[in-house]
Amino acid sequence: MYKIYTIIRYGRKGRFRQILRVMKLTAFILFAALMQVSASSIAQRLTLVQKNITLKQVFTEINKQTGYTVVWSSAEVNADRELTVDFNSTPLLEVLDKCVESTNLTYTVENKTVVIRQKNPSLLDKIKSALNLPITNTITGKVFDETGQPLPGATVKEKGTNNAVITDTKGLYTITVSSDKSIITFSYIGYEPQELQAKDIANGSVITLKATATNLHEVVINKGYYTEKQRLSVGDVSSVSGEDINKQPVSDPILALEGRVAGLSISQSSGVPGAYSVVLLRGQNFMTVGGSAPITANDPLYVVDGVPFGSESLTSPFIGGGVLQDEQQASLGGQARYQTRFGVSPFSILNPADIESIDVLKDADATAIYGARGANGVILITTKKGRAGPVKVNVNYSSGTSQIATKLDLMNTQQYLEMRREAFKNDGYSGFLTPQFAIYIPDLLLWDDTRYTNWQKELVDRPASFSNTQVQVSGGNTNISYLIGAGYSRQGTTFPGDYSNQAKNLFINLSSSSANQRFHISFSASYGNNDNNVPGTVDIVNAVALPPDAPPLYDANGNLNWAVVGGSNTWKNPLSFTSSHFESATENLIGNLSLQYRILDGLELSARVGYNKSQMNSQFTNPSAYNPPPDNVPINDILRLAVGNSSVWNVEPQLSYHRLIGKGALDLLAGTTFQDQNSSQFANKYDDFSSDAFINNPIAAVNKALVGYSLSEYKYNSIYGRIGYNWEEKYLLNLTARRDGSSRFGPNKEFGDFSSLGLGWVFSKEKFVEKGLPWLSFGKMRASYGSVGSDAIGDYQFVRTYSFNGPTYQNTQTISPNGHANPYFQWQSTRKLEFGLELGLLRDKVNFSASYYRNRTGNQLVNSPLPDFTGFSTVVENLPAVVQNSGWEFTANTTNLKSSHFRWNSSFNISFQANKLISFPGIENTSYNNIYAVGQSLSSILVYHYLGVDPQIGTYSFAAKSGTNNPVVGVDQNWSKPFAPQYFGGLGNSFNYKGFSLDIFFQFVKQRGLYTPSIGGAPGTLSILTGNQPVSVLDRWQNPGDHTNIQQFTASFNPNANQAFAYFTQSDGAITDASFIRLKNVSLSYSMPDSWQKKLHLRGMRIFLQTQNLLTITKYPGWDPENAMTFSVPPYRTITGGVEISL
Amino acid sequence: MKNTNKHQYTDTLAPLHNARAKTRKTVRSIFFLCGLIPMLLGQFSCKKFVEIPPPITSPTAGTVFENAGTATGAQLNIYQAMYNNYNSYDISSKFGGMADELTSYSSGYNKPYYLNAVLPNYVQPAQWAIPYNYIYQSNAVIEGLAASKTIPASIKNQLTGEALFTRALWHFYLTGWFGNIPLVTSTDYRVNGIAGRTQQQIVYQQIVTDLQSANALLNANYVDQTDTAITTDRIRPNAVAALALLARVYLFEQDCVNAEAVSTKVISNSLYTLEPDLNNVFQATSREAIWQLAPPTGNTGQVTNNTLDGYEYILIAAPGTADNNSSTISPQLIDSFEPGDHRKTSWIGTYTDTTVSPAVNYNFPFKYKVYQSLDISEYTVVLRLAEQYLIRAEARAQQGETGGALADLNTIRHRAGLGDYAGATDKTSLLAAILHERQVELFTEWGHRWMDLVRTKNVNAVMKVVTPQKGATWKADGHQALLPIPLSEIQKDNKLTQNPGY
Repeated sequence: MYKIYTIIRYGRKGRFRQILRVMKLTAFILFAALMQVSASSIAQRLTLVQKNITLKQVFTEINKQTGYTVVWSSAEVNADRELTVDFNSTPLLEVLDKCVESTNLTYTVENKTVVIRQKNPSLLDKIKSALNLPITNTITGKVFDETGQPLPGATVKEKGTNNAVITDTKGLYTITVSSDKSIITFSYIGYEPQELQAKDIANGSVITLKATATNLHEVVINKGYYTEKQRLSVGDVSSVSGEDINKQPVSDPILALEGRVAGLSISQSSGVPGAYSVVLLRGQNFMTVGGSAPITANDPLYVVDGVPFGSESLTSPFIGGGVLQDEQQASLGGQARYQTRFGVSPFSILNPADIESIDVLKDADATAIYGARGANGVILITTKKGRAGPVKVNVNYSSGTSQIATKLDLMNTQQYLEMRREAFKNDGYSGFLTPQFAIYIPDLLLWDDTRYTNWQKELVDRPASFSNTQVQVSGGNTNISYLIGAGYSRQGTTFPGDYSNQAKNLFINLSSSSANQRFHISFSASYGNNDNNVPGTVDIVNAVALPPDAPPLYDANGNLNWAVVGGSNTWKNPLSFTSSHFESATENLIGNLSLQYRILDGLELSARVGYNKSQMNSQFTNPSAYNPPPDNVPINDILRLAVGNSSVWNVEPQLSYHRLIGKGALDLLAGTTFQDQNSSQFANKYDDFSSDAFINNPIAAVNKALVGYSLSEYKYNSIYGRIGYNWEEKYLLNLTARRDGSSRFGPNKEFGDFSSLGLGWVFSKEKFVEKGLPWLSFGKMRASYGSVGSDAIGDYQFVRTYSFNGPTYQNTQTISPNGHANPYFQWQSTRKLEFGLELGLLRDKVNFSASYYRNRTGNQLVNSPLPDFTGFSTVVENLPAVVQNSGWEFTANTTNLKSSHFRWNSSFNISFQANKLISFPGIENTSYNNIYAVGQSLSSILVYHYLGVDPQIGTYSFAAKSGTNNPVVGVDQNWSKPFAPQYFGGLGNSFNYKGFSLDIFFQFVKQRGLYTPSIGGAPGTLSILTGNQPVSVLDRWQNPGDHTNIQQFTASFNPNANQAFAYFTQSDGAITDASFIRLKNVSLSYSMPDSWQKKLHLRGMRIFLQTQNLLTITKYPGWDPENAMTFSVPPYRTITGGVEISL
Repeated sequence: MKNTNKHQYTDTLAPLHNARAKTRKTVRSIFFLCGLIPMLLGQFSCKKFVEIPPPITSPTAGTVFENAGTATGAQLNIYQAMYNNYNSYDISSKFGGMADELTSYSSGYNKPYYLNAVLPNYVQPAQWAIPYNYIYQSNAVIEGLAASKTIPASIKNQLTGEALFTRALWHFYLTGWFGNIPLVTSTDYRVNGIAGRTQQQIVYQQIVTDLQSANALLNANYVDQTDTAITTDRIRPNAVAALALLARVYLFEQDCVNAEAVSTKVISNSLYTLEPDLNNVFQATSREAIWQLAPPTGNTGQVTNNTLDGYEYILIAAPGTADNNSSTISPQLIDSFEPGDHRKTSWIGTYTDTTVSPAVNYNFPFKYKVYQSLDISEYTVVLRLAEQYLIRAEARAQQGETGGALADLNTIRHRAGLGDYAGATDKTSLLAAILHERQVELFTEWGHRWMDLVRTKNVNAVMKVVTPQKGATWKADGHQALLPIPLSEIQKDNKLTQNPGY
């Protein structure tokens, strides 16, 4: 009996048996070689005709027909190689010749055994080898994906030959190549192939393959506590790569996400560097209204490398000045709906260059494992990790300028003066235009009315500089790898003066594995230092509407001009802000240690320990020079100092288990979280200095006071688990659950349970689909349902607390109650339902996904207003209200053209959203009655219905039961259409041609905004020295019978016109389309050809041009549509150029 | 051959063996996992991890009332707040302006009050939210002490008595300004938040009950911060203060028998006597004072306010348009002083503005003499003996005890340097004389005049003359006698009804 000895390396069944076989085979080969017997006498014949038959099958056939046994080593012979044979009684030797044709194989025949093996090197090869010492023709190594996971089944091929091997389950490969100059290609479906010269590959090194951008289904997605292949995931996760983030010249990584993630709505509160953005993932879930409700209640949970990252600014509420002042609350009928943000954005401390990817977790399947904190979705920020390889130094420098992206079209002096004079005439107060009243009407009576200043240009649209330098060094081997980075970026402002947001960052990652690869450790630390001295901007922003004939900023001596007449100033010089100084310095340290140990095959114990500490020191000074004469005396000097601290530590031990069961794979995960968070705020004020010279010295102040001191602690403990199972990668199931305990709830209310179920069906794996729809490369349907919670209510709310006051009475420290306390409130929870469809067409050239979601948030935990006569105006309580957010999201990624030199990819996403209060039993009996209404969006407000300008009397008129000029609160008001965006998304195109790469990204938003055709008061009025108006108000009512949309000008002396204007700002006439399309990012880069790089001894060199907010298309008549609820500095248009060099 | 066969045999079995070994391994690891999960759960069940200590910067209600020092701090906070919220000045300037005591130059919050034109969206916190916050604080002290196990009874009694007193005091002002009001006697917002307005009569009954209890609980003397040791400063209410307020409330209820009886108790108390010198009435050492508010302690060595009335009323420049230093004595009040009344000279100051020609004289309330000083010599008077004489005079007049009424009236007149009342002594005339005496004795103190006009139903007759002189309108329906319930409150509690006319 004969046996075909084939050796399948690292097969699943019986490694011991294989080793035994190898030994036997080796002995046999030795024996055969020693025999040195010629095989010329063979005369066996073979008949076989077949296309695409494997070598192995041919050998089997030889054994069957001739009785000869063929043996080979799979290390040397690729038996799966296919060939086409046409043997008709062909002699065995000819058959064997055909089998080794055009390979480096040869054969020997002895005693009815054929041994196939690699050729002995030819003489030429031997000489070559002798010249190229040392000979390293056999290479072993690993192929990993970007997340550091092994890629089993990747092809490692010697270019131009058929010599190829496949990596094993651990990503290991061994290949013997003919020469160390051979090019080796590494490829894997869904990943970009890599080519390297054999001599450049260190033995044992890791080759990392990057996922092909368009082939989403192969991408491994990060779900925080575990990773999954996109195609096997039943959850909804969107990712933005670090590469896409770094194409954008922004200093806050959150801004780089605008338009790129379906369902994620980001709106910049202001364009100034360091300003906050309002981020809403799939709409507003919680009915937060005013009071002391935490500003973060509707924020997603941010997690940086496993450690929660606070989305609240550390800027002290006790300190004035700085970017914190930027927002002016939009108030429509006194209904403040969106809480504006103040302070320096906490995210500006994160260096975009250190970010590997940002993953946005949306549905119940993806977020339920975050339990009580996942209700608003989770944003995972992952930093870069070191990669094995030779030492690589990367230097990236860019610089450029910014200006504001959009501008207002304001009146010139002539138009302005005409408006003002007409206003006085309309009001019947032309008699006031006499020197007696000059001080009140400086624009018409005191100032030089031939002057013209474009205040917008002068004060908020000066070119601002932007520069960014990043250096990264990485390298290592399979056992230890590192990445060290340092960066410095500076973004100036468009205000006159030297203001900027500067960020300095240091980053290190070290990863190490034990020799047997059972133990892995990864440590990352990043230190950031952010220095922001952007001044408080309310004054500057309002000054845009200064009368265009306002006096020059400086007098003849170069001092600030106060245009003093009769001992007092006639205006507030807008540059007075330059004398005040705001500075906020933030230091941030994030440390993260991750340990993994494989106990058994498939069973892994891991732990993550993280620490995050931030400290912000703020200083604000207002010297006497800030004040106009005669108040510019040192007694009015102000110094404010504040310190904000926040620290979080987080420990998460976790056990995971992976096993193949039946035709499927089971994944189990269990873990626990301990988290402790401490924050503190501390602020002091110092007033009245003997001289401006001492203003930075608090000891020199006459009045010193501690104005704020707060400490709070938040503790959090939970267990979580996951069961995932997929059957033949076809039927998918994922169960996650979490039990959370939070210190924010009262006794016996601390714990809450959250869970989700996700199901998926990869129907493209079904035989009938494979056959019937050959163009469908991938198809999956998925559904998930689960509950997620929120404890974002602030600390200590369940316990009634007192505060120590400053004032004492009878030498006793007095203490006052802080408010009502409700010990009974519970978790607020969101039930999320989602259905999704994912398709890959034409070999994944077109990828498409659609999802429908419906999130219902009940048991609303809010600061509910109470009548003042209860003692306090709010209390935290659960309200029996349900808010629903539902919507559709579509994304498409296509490879439109792909040739060896040219590639064109597109990506598109669009999100449709609807927000609705679907139930609120007894709302009419609550204080919410005039704030929300069942059936309306939370972003709707009560407004009067605007009817246009009354053609007879020339003032705004409104629908009212009695008299169109006097609508009544509560009687003549209706709910407005929602302000939340109706749909939004982005369209990106990237083109690659040889070394050129061009990315063009558009962001679009369909929404409504507020716009009153005025900035300060009613057109014609000079209020607090702002009076200029958009040119569009010139289309005003002048004479009875005029039909227009702008009422008559008034200098504020016509009470009817004033009142009508006030009503107008609270009417639907002030609501306008604020949709826009913005050319968010254009990035053009050119990589130098290899030949140049070689000459320069560089690994790579790239020059690039990047722009942000280059173009905005909108019908919105106000300053900028993005934040059309407020009047604030528009986003910056930034253009930078730079170079990246790799050594 | 045989060997090979054998090999093949074992080889065939090997996978099976391996599989079994693997299964055993798996089973072991599943057991391990199963063991670990409860272990983790066990770990978790320790609730201690998520229990946090009370915030360092803010003691909890529980700890506050287990400690006499903090419990005292909680009650004293009301007095501190009454001082620092300018309640005395705010009420006297707003209601003095609303009535016929002051001419206001304010273009700020005081203006609509002055013009008798307060609208539902214009009621200031000091007239509604702040008093109700004091009532909440009082209720919190009452409830906290009732539950306290560690504070001695003597301290509990004193503080509970004071809290009942402050609750009564602020209910008294609120009902005087608004008529029927929500009556709040607990901190439970669930009950209070949906309450409607309570009839004024019932509010008065509650005030009386509170003051009677307070009188029983409070020390007859004035106590210091230990709540038990006696001190000379009259800056915390004592049992007599409760009686003094009770006498006033009886008068407002038109319960003249009790008003007379209770005011007699106060007048007969030897702690109190009318200061012969008008300039000493508002001194910190005034023997006429029944309850005063002290400024915050610890400001020694700095120029500071004594009373905010002094700081805000005394003119050192022509009146401005802010809410402070913008009130002058009205012509009506100036004209109402009889010749020779020392109060007109002692309690009214004059600032002569010489920057204009001809110079202009501005008369301002000058009961408090100190604008600012290094020392504290004046306290803000809340209750004083003179009022008790006038309460008793009125109660006696109402009951026809003309002689007693005249005696009390004359006591006050003599102190002001006036002779005996010489007018008609019929009840109506006597009541009018007493009302007039109240006008010139109690002006710019806690809005007495306005509440007197409303209480005696003279408000319409007086204001329909005075309001037009202020350049505003007094409606014939007299609805301006009551302030409107704040609009936002009606929006938040739809059981609240608006006062008629608004």
